[in-house]
Amino acid sequence: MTTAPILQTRRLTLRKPRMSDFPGFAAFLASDSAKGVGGPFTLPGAWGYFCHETALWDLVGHGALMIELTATGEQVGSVSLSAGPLFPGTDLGWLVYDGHTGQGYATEAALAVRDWALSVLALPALISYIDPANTVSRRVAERLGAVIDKAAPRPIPTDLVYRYWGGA
Amino acid sequence: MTFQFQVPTLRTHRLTLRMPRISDFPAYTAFLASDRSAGVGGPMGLDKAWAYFCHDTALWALFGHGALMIEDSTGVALGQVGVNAGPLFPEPELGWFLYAGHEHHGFATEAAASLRDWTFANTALPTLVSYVDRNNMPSTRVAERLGAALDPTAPRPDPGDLVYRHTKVQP
Repeated sequence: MTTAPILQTRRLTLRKPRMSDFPGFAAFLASDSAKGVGGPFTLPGAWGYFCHETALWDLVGHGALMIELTATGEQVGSVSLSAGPLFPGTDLGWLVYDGHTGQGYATEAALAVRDWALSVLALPALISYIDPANTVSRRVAERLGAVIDKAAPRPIPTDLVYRYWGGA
Repeated sequence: MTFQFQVPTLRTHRLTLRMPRISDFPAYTAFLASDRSAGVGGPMGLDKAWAYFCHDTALWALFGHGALMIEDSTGVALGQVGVNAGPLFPEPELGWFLYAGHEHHGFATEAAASLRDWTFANTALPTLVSYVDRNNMPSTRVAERLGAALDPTAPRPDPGDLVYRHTKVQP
């Protein structure tokens, strides 16, 4: 049983999902804003997604953390380190709920999880699968120092693959 | 609420019940891809099977109860038993399935009785239901052997399901 870390950044607290996070998470996944992560999703799809994010900790030793504003405790999204049969590589992903975009939260949260994965887990590399039209997420990956990997396998043929190298 | 929980490993006369792990997934997926999985919403493809498997596992962290794999004395996984909850279940549900070739030995009854007893002893749940397709005779017999009683008025996810109710026996 892996214990998920609690990561603190300048503005954010990143911690393991709990049941009370599900309504906000499901509302985001049901909206058009969820297109970048494969949505919109029905309730069973959103539940499967939430369980994937949670169960990964037990199954592969890493998973998703909810992004909370430390000052107010408000939920603004999640950042995840995904693996399993649906992912060719270990994927760093993020989503930010409506009303909280444009503040740099995804970059701040993903940076903390990237560093945790590369240092504590000592993973050799991470990737992010991003739709080429999703310029907001592409900028997040680029700010984190990821580079496009043209040869990497990807779940969706049109996705870009950004790669983060560890061992620096 | 965060559960500070320890997932139990339960031992019965013939079986060990333990937390799912990633190495269980290939056999689990093969079962859910087969016609044998009709009783649990199948047959289904890889994406949905992964969502099911993650549901089974995540329940422990989210609710403090969940699913356990059923293993025989040689460590071979025979199937699964679980206490389900979440937005897709009207109320907490005791469910079970056996992979092909392991039915008719009483394994489902033995495993489900053990997890039912653990759940009543270690959670605040006073009652559990089992949703069973009315044409699934082996599972209706398991529910009856467990001493569950038909509840004709309980809500159910599928109108064709029977609802069996398990009630905690007060010590």
